[in-house]
Amino acid sequence: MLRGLNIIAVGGLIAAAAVVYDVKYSATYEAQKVARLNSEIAKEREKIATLKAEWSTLSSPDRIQRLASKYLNMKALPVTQIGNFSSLPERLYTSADPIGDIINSLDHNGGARDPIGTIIEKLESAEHAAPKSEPETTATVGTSDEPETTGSVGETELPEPTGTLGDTPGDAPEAVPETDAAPEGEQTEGSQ
Amino acid sequence: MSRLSQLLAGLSGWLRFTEGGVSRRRIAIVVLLFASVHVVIAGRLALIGIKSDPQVARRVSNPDLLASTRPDILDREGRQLATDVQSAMLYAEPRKGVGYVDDAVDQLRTVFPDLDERELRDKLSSKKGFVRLKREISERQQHEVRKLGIPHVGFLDESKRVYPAGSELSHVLGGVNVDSVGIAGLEKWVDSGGLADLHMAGFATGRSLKPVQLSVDLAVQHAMRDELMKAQANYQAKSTSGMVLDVRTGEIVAMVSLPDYDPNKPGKPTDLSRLNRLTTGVYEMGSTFKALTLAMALDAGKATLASRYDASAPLHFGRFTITDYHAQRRVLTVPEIFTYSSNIGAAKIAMSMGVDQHKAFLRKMGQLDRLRTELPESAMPLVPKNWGEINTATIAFGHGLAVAPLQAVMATAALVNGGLLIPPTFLKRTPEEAKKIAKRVLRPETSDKMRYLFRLNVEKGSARRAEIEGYYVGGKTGTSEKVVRGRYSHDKLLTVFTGVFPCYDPKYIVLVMVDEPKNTGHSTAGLNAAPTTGQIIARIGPLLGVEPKFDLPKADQLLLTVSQRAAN
Repeated sequence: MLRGLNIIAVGGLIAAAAVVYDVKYSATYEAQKVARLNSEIAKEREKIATLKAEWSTLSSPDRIQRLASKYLNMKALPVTQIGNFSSLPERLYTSADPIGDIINSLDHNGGARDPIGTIIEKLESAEHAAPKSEPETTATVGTSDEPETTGSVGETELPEPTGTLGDTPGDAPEAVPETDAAPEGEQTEGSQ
Repeated sequence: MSRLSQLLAGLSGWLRFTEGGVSRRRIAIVVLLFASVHVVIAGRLALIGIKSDPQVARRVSNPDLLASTRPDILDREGRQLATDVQSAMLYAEPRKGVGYVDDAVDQLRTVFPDLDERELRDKLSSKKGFVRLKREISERQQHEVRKLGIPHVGFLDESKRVYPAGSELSHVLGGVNVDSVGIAGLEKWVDSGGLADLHMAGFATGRSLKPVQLSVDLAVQHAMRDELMKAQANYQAKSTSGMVLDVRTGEIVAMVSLPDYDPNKPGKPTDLSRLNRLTTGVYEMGSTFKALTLAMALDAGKATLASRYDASAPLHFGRFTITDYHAQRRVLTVPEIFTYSSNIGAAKIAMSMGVDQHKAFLRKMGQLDRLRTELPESAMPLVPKNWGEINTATIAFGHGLAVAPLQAVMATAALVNGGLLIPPTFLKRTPEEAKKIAKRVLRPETSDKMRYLFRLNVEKGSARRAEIEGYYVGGKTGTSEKVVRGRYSHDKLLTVFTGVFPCYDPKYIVLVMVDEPKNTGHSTAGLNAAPTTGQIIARIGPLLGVEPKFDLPKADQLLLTVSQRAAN
């Protein structure tokens, strides 16, 4: 009985010693790890601080102004160009569902929204119109487009690249068939 | 084997022998002894466990950090104005020996050709334990020095104070010495909060210090400095200075005093460029002081806007004569005295109040005592020792009393912000905090009248050139003759402009001072300081978020609406 207890006690002692040993060394290891991480954090912080200082130096207003006046063609903002929301005109139409509107418009006049389709349609109508009466085609071409249409092909294509930015993309499909139609019309004119 | 059995037998015999009452007590004593020893050991273990291992702790903090760090200084938008960066420093320990000194000198000079040979040799051949050889060493240079393999030569990290904005805010920030101790400006103020003691104890290391946030806006500061530099070149002035103050909180949004200096570069503290003219200089503020005189009389009820004063003839005081620069030679109303900047009128208004009341009013407005801010540098106003009637008459138009410009701006802010005197600060402050420390010095109605007068002066008075459409600028010009060898000089002038905007609800005061403008034809404030202020307001208005309004009534209507509001 007593011996059994002794054996258990001795065993427990050894086990406890082993556990303590393990805990102590793992604690030391962890402490070292913590110390290493802390010094790494400190180093990173220093790096961040250095980078921040560099950024502040590079973005200092003095430097920005010097560079801006050297490389950019900018001017000081006049007070008169500052406006507020109340001075803006009322928005004409606001839709609750803008995407739905687009889908609807596509459904209703899909042909008009399909550029290639419109080109084909225009060409077809031009061809249909051409045989009917010769002078009429030239007349329509002349009035619908610039006077240059009666000139060479190169001239008719000129206005396209110089078009202003304000031109909405919606205008493009209409403009394309017309300029295309013009040489077409000329060809038919020339051939006939 | 037999001996062992004998020993066991003896031991068992001894045990048996001790099975008496006495031996039992002895056993108890022994057990107690051992137990107490164990308790001591356990206690000690617990103590060690509670205290952190000093070895580990030392490894955590960077032992190489020599000069301790300082808190970052940020502007009101969080932009960095001052920060610490680490740089390596080359040192040697000559006592431990650096090998052959001549070799070491030659080798070090291959990496750093700019090191002085004799100085280096002296340092290395001394018997000191530690000598500093060179600061700010790049990574590449460190690598090269390590390759040389000179014994007992090494590197230490030290923190260095850098000011990313350069000269932009030199006077406000001040500077630090080589040991990172603040020697001027806000840097010195930062130290006064016990930081210097922390440094000495070695606690202020790492980046644990909370940054100091200022009321200064770097963008506004730059705009102002840029415009002032232009003005300085344009009018060939000796110096120009200016500041922007938030009238609602007393926060200093910008403060420029040219010439200035780069705090990154060490310089002599006696250098003239180190002088902050707005806080350490005292000046006779000239006609801008008339605003105070008029406010005093309006507030006391001694005068109304309709009161008339005879300015048809110069005033004589013994051998002194007070004349008007823009003489009208007739009876003037109070607004006319302001817009024509009549010295005679202002003197008469002040004299109607009496010397004592005038003095008491100026003391109440903080013009007679030293104004202290966070900046350690401040100046005592020059107050006449024997203040007689002649002094009151001249001080009424800003001559005979020299104050720090910051002081005058504080008083002007009280004239337009509804009558509250708020001590100016360089630190961020909320309107609530400002309200707590504000002191009521004028009735709100007086403030309304002063706003009207300031605006009127820009619409049709001497400050017309300060007008910026949309910002409803108001202001007062001031041209004073500088005292040269005890006499007022006629060609050395100081021109001042205090601009307020927007006048219907003042938010900011802009002060511009041009010292000794030489460009003839632009010598008075209305021709140099006023247009400069206008330019500054046009630039800083959008930065400060002041909305321009273009449908505003004239000043007369402003007063009308104000008086209607008061009647209701």
